[in-house]
This record gives sequence, structure tokens and C-alpha cells, in this order.
Amino acid sequence: MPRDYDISNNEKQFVLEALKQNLRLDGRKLLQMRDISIVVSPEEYGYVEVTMGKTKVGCRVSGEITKPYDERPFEGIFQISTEISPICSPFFESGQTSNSKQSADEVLISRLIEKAIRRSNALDLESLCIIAGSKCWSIRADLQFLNFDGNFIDISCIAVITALLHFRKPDLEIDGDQLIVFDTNQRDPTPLSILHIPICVTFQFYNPNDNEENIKGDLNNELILIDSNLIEERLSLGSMTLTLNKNKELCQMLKSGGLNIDATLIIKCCSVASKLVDELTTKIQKVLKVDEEQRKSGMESELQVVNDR
Amino acid sequence: MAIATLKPQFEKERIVRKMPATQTLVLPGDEIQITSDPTQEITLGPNVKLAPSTSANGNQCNEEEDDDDKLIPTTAGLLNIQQKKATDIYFIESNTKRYTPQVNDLVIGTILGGFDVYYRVSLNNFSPPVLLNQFAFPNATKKNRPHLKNGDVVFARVSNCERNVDAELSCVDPITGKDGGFGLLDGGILVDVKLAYARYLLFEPEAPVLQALVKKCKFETAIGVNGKIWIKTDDLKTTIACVQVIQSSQNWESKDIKKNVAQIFKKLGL
Repeated sequence: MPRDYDISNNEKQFVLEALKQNLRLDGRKLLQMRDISIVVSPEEYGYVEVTMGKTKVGCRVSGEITKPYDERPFEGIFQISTEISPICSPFFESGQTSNSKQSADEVLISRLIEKAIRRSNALDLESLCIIAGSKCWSIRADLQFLNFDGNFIDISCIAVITALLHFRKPDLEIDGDQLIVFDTNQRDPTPLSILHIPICVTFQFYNPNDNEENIKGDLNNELILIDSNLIEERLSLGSMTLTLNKNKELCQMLKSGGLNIDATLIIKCCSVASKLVDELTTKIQKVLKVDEEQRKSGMESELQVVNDR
Repeated sequence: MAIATLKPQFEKERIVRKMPATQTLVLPGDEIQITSDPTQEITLGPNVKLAPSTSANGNQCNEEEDDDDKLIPTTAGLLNIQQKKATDIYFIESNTKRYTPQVNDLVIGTILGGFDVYYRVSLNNFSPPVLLNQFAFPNATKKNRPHLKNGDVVFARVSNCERNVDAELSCVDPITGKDGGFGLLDGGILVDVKLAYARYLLFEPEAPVLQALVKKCKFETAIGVNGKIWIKTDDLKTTIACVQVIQSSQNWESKDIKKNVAQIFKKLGL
């Protein structure tokens, strides 16, 4: 059994007392995110690093041509690999520890990302098919968890979707039975067909009164906050992850145990999340646009050199 | 032994920080040049070790001049040589994140549990716990023991640490036998900082960051060299401001301190 963080009573009391007064240790409001930085690799396609506070996640998307699954001959393959190594925190242990609590945390994170991105059909699998039943693209997203200070789910979701949007696969041509793969210098590589941009928002719940009140009473004044850091995440009495996109479609919702939450509060969470999703989507698109423009200008200057010669 | 004049000495408390006379960067594998007068006694501080001479064949080098003995660094860092009246102190200042207990260090720990007459205390997350004897409190007797709960925070001194044995803490001042400020820390909050920064705040008599904070608010603080700083003020917002100042001041330049402190307090509306 891996050890948990040793959080003292002093920290516990202080953080909860501060939350009651709408204050957090890093000076944020309850429904305020940390500053997010999304860095896409300028050299290659499909590598993204996302940092939020001290939490840092990297994601690489790669593709190869393989044979599709027999039962799904018209679809490509998409896999997300999420193995959390102790690099980010000794809290996560390497290797298989199947019946430990840590493993449960890790499984939860990978299942959620899988559910939010793969099962919400963000990536159009049919567009990955090249020749039905014999050739298709297999796209793989590898997440690297680099540092842990809470809120892995939201950040990894942003990393995966940004990397997918950033990734380009080489252009292809089918000539009879032959498949010609063009070099990136010969023909511009093509982006993946992304149908929508799902973004996760995780809420943590706290009860300002005792737990008894939450079960029996009808005060419903539970505190909700987003983008929790490590201490807040350890102290929370329950969490809920919503996945939405810009079109205000709810792709996924997970509330596994914890505090009882009133339906009205969930609706409130949805509207908060929807606003955030709008902001984050614009941010992601802006980052990608800047990157594209830089690539274009880089290419033009390169061509200019060729012309001059 | 040829090293009679070289007494290994790990008591950091004895090192009174002044401006170090010299500071050079050393890496493991380097040799530390002894710049002091040959007749001068040398004290080895943290992270400096005496390497046994390689050419000497056992006892024969006795009474000889210790030409082959050399000082080697056990870590990368800045070599400090402090010249005192009686002795020259050689030690290496380096920054780490994980604390290893050393005798006479002042530390802040969290009580994890207890067994027999001991409390188990965590000094670091994910490190083996150390022990705190219930009788290692001032005036503690069988009937008058301290009552600490799990999760309580104590300020203590490392009284004993030997290889293969759990390190032990003590809440008694070894000189006076009284509490000397040790014991339970009630309320407030803990801030995690890098180990070198905690040492700096503790040993630097007039750390400019704390000076700047004193001008802004009234606070109580305890600094553990295990990278934990306990801070308590009367008001929640002020505490948050102090936490932010201490945490972010690790990366400040000294000329910006006043400006940055003022900025943080202003942002929180204080």
C-alpha cells in the first residue's frame, strides 16, 4: 500500500476555514482556474506540454499504418496510454499494484480520459480508414505526467485534445493496390478530423458544516471549487468531473461517491463549466493558430532562400 | 591516525552564518583544496568527507605529514570556508528537496501515530517516519505526558540519528532542560520550501524577506530545516499573504523584495 501525503491538522483546518471565506492558499477565488500555459512543439507535429500551477503534463500523438480490427473494418484505431510514473510524485508507484488505492486513482484518470475523448467520438475513426479491412491509421496518444499538484484529469484532457488537433499525418494516395505515403516535404501533411473539442472540468466538494448535515439537512450550501491543488484535492469530500464542448453538449459526467449533491448544484456546475470550456477552447485554438502562422512564415522564408538561389 | 587534527563535525548549529569568506562551486569527483594555514585545525561540515589516502599502505603513514589525505565533496554545491578563531570550517551548501535527519537540526514534523511511549513523526512526505519519545518533553512524567493527536504539528530538535536506527526527536532544550520554544504548534499553516531556503531563513540573522514581512504584519513563525515553515497570524488573509510571500520569495532577487511583498499584500486587499 503506497503512502498518502501526510497532511497536518493545521493545514486541514486552515484550508477549510479559508474556503468558507471564499479564499484559497494561492490567492484564487473558488471558481477560478490557475494560469494555464499550453506549449506546442515548434519542430514537430503532435507534441504538447500543458502547465497549470505546478502540475505539468506532456502529450505526444503518433500515427502508424496498420490493419484494422476484424470486427470494425471501416474504422481506424485510436489508443490513449496513461501510465503515471513516480516522476511526478512518489504518491504514484510504478509497476502493477493492482489492489492498492493508488492504482485506483490511476485507473480513474485513464478511464476518464478514455471516456471523455475516445468514447465521445472526438476523433472521427472512420476518417482513419485507408483501405477497408486491410489498411488504416492507428493513432496513439502517450501522456507523460511530469509533475503533480492536483487536477491531473482536466490538464491531461486538454493536453490530449490539443495534441490531437496539432498532429498531422502524412498525405496518402492510393494507386490501384499500391499505397503511396508522401514525405512531409513533398506534400503537406493532413490534420486529423476532430469532430468536437471535449474539455473536462473537475469540481471538488466540501461541506462547511458536518457530514451529518449533508445527509439529513436541506441547507445545500456545499462549497464547490475547480482546479484543485494537491492539498485541496486530498481534503475534498467528493468530486465530480464534467466533460463539455463548445456547443454546450455534455459528453460525460462522473461522480463516484463522496458528498451528496443536490441536482440544482449540478446544474450550476454545468453552467460554470460551460463558461470555462468556452475560454479554454478559444485558448487552445489561439495557441494552435499562432503555431501554424509561425510555421507558415518559417516555410515562406525557407522558400525565399530557395528562390534567391 | 594522520587525521587527528580533522574532527568530523556535523553540528550545523555551531556554524554562525556570516558572509562566507570564499565560495566556489565543487562537484563530486573534485578535490577540495585546503587553503588554510597547515597548523590550523579544520572542521568538516556537511557534505565534506575525508577520503582515505590511496597510496598509503596501512599504518605506515602514521605520524607522517598527511599529504595523501584529501577532502572530497559528497555532493555538488558551493564550497564555503569559514574562518573562526579556533578552527576553519569547510562545508558545502547545496539545495535538495528531501531532508535527511542530522543531529541538532531544528525540524517541524507531523504526528502520524503512536506506539508504546513513542510518537511516529513525518518530517517529509514519503520518507520513513522518525520517533518522538513522550518523555522527551519538558517536565514529562508517567502521569504528565503530552497529549498529541494524529496530524498535530510539532517543532523539535533531532536528538539522535544513527545509521540503521530510526532517528529521534526531542522537544527539550538540551542546555536549559526547559521547553525552549519546542513542542506543539497550534493553528497557523505549514509552507513547504526548498531545504536551502529554509536554512537561509533560519540562519541568516536578518533575512530581508522576514524583515519586509515584519513591517507589514504581526506573525509567529517557526522554521524547520526540513523545508517546512510554520506561520501564524491573527487574520486569515494575512496568513495567506505570508504564505505567498514565503513561497514565491524563493525566486526573488533581493532588490525586488519590498516591491513584491507590497504587491502581494495589495492584491489581497490588505
